[in-house]
Amino acid sequence: MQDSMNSQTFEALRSFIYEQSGIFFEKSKEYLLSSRLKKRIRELNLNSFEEYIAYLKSTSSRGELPKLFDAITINETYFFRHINQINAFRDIIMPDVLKRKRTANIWSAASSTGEEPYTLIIALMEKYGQAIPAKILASDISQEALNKAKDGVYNEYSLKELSVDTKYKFFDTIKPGSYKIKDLIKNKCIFRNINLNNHTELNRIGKMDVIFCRNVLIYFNKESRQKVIDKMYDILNPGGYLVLGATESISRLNTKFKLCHFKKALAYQKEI
Amino acid sequence: MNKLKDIYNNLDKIEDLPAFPGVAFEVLRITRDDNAQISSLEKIIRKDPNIVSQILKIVNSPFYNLSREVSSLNYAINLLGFVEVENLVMVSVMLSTVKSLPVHKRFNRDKFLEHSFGCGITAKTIANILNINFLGAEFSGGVIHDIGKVLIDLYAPEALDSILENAYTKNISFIDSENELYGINHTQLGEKLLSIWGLPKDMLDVVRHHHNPKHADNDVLVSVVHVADLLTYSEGIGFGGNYAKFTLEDDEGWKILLDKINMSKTLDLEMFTFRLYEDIKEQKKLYL
Repeated sequence: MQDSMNSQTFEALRSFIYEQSGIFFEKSKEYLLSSRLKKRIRELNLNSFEEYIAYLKSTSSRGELPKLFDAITINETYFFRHINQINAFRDIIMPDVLKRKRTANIWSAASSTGEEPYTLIIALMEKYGQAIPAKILASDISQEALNKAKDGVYNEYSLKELSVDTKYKFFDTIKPGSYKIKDLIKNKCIFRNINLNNHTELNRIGKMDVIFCRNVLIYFNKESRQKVIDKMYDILNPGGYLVLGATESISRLNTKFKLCHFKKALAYQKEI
Repeated sequence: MNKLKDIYNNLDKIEDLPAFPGVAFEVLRITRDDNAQISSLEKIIRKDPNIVSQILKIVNSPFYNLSREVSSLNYAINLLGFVEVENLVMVSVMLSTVKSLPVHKRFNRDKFLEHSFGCGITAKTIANILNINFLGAEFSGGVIHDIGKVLIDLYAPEALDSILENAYTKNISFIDSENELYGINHTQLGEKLLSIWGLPKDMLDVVRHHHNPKHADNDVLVSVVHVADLLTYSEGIGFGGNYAKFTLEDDEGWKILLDKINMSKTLDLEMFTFRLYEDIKEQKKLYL
């Protein structure tokens, strides 16, 4: 079997992925796709990428989608991941929200081990100082991830995008290569165990102005994806924003959100 | 005294007005002539070593993925085609015009060039994705669209200061600030320069109407450059920063494109944007 796929096959596979998940798979990561899928193709006793695409599109492949997504998702998280989105949040979205109210409610809807909500707080402190005009809710379905987030201990890799100054300002070094987030950051964040598929839980979280929900929807089927997006639309105040993953879209869903362009970043806005 | 109107009225009398290089002019004449021969284009290009080396550099870049190095200009032009050659010539014109500028504290030349080329590349990429063929006019137009700003920097740097200051304090766009202070703007200055240079009508159309494409003769071409201009700011390069946030769906030029090429039903705006970001990265490697 060939090592990598030809460009036509790659295009076919990425448009299939986009249709099914809303994720745009970048050309620059093609090698990753090839190497991960090769393993899966061998397990299925298939002979080529083309055969695998045919299999995906056939009815007998029910249950294969989660396996495909598993192979293509990169479960990495670090501080200030996708900086263009964070810049858009700090420089454009926040000032826009603060035109309408004094304190913004921000929700990191799949906060995992805490890098995202803490990043948002650090970004805001850089702009507004310690008394940030925002309340941050961080939630995740995994209690284990939440516990880690509350511990707030990170390795060098998680902090790779941070300057020495920022590290020093917002973290304590507990041993070489191990850093603990300072309380002044942690105390700004409320953690809760929330399942995005559980609407009773979602009904209890109150109104939000900005929701970060990056690279999570891929784990949902189309129907529940639509439900979560509808719910998030309800949860947002008028003019509020939804930020998805950097190459993630909900264009194939039926929503009233409006797409906004920022510097090299996209977000969705609810009408005012 | 209105400095900008002054420049506009006397543009043809300015002695040190940037010249449109004779070589470039000849190239444009030939690339737009259906019956032209490669040999005549080659003859003209040979006169400008800078353009020759640019063409060879591009042909030998990884993008063309050739097995051995090309050193024949004739073969290179053959591979690239007239459109690509014209694109390169426009890039070199813009470079030499802007490089002749005195250094100005507010007007960042490098950023300006980056924006100009970025806009050309973006326009070309949009045309590719939407499958419209302008024979390279979208690239040239994109590169040259803000040339009027160069004139302001060159002959009225203090006016440029006031325009920027006024735009900043009132949080309005560069062109609104120009119109408010002087009743005239860079699109008019640029159009006049291009007409003195004797450039093709579609170039004048782009320069004059890139802020409101519905007034353009070739509104599809001008809309492509207009949208490219917007996206080049949002892409994070360039001079200005008027468009920190915008909604493509509500944009006049975007609506013209959707309407004229009849694709509003099929086009996925996010997919279009992701592809664009990806392709721009590839294209940039070619020109910059």
